[in-house]
Amino acid sequence: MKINRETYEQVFIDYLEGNLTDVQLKELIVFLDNNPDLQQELKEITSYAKKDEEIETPKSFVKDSLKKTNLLQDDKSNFDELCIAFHENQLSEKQENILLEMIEKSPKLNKEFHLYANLKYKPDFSIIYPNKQQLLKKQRKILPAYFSYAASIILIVSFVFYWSSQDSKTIIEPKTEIAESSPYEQLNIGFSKKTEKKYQAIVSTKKPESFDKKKTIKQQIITKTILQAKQQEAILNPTSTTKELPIKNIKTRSENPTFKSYIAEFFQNIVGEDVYQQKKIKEQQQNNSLNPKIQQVPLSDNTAQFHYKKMILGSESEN
Amino acid sequence: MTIQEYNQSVEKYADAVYRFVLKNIKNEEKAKDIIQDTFEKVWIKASTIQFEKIKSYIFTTAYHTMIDYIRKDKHTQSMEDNMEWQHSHNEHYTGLNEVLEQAFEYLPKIQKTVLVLRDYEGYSYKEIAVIADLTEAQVKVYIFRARRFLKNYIGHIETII
Repeated sequence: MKINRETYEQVFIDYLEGNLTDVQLKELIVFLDNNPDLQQELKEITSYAKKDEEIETPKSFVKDSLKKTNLLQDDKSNFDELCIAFHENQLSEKQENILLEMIEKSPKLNKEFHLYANLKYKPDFSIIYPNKQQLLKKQRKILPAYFSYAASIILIVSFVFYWSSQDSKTIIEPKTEIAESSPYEQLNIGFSKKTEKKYQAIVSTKKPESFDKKKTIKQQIITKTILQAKQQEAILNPTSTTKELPIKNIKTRSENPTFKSYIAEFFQNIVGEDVYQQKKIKEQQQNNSLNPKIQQVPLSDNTAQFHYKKMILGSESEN
Repeated sequence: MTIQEYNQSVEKYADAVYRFVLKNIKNEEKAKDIIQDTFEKVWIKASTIQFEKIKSYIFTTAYHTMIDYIRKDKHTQSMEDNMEWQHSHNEHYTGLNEVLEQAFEYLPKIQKTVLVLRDYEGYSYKEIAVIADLTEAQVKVYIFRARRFLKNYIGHIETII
């Protein structure tokens, strides 16, 4: 193989491994003279290779540490182990005697033995952990059972008092019991007592929820119907006001002039107009006889006025 | 374990476990944090721990917490940087004790731990094995190696002096 800048690495390796022939070695020397940079590189590689070779392997140490020694053998090779074991209280009585014999025989071993005796570390009791209080846990005070009973009773009592006081503070507002009150009363329309009683009887009897719903719907229908009737009445007779109608007292109802006009119309329809007029004239005459100063009839009743005038004219012509 | 027993164990072992941790990591603030964490862990498990075994449990928890702290610290700085001896009591060491303290710094971490547990607290090999999560034989080997190293270190210093 010719040495050049492309193949020099392989030649260098052969050189380091001692595989070059004399001819190849001469060629390498010539090549390095011509390439001083590669000469420097070869020197560096050679120095690394030597360093690796110079590393000493601790053959004896490794092997010795793996060997099992017999502490009872009577030589100095295991003296260290005997001393350490002695101070670690690991020796039997027999082993201790052997060790003591060895120490007595050699002052050097005696000195080493005492040196081992001083190899123990003693704790420095002046060093204390400063935050010991932070590590301590506080003990929870366990209260007797009756404390919890008492507390619960107090709670319940205070709760009851609180709610009772809240109830007394609340303003009792009058309930607008639309459902309970009669729609006839709401509209202030006079109806018979029988109808009222019937309605109250229905309301007073407690029914299931479904019935209440039905009842409410029924009331709404009744109310609507009554309202419609009232509106129609107001259109037909604007002067009449439902407020003037007495509801319960029959006496006051009979004294009401509007009611009287209703009754008059009713009577007129039933018995006929002539009979009604005659009856009315008679009444008028009676009134005139009782109070002759009163010569007038109500202006609202035109028919009666007519008959009254006719009657006066007739009497004058007779006279 | 009741609250009283827990508090009792704090009073009894907090100082000892603090000395153990401080001896290993040589940093007061970190040692305090480790102790705080240790006793928090102990409190969480308090209901399941037998009071008779509380000392071992505290030291085991402290050791593992310390290892966790050391692992976390490795990302930021090496343990050697933490080895600044910050305690005033160090100044009182003279003669052999001072040399021993110097030698202690050269011990591997696991050897430091087992040696402190052995010398400070007088734990048996078995107990140390439980705390440090080792076998009993391993504990014995580590202690032997540590003693021999210390003896060689002191012998070397004596010849220099």
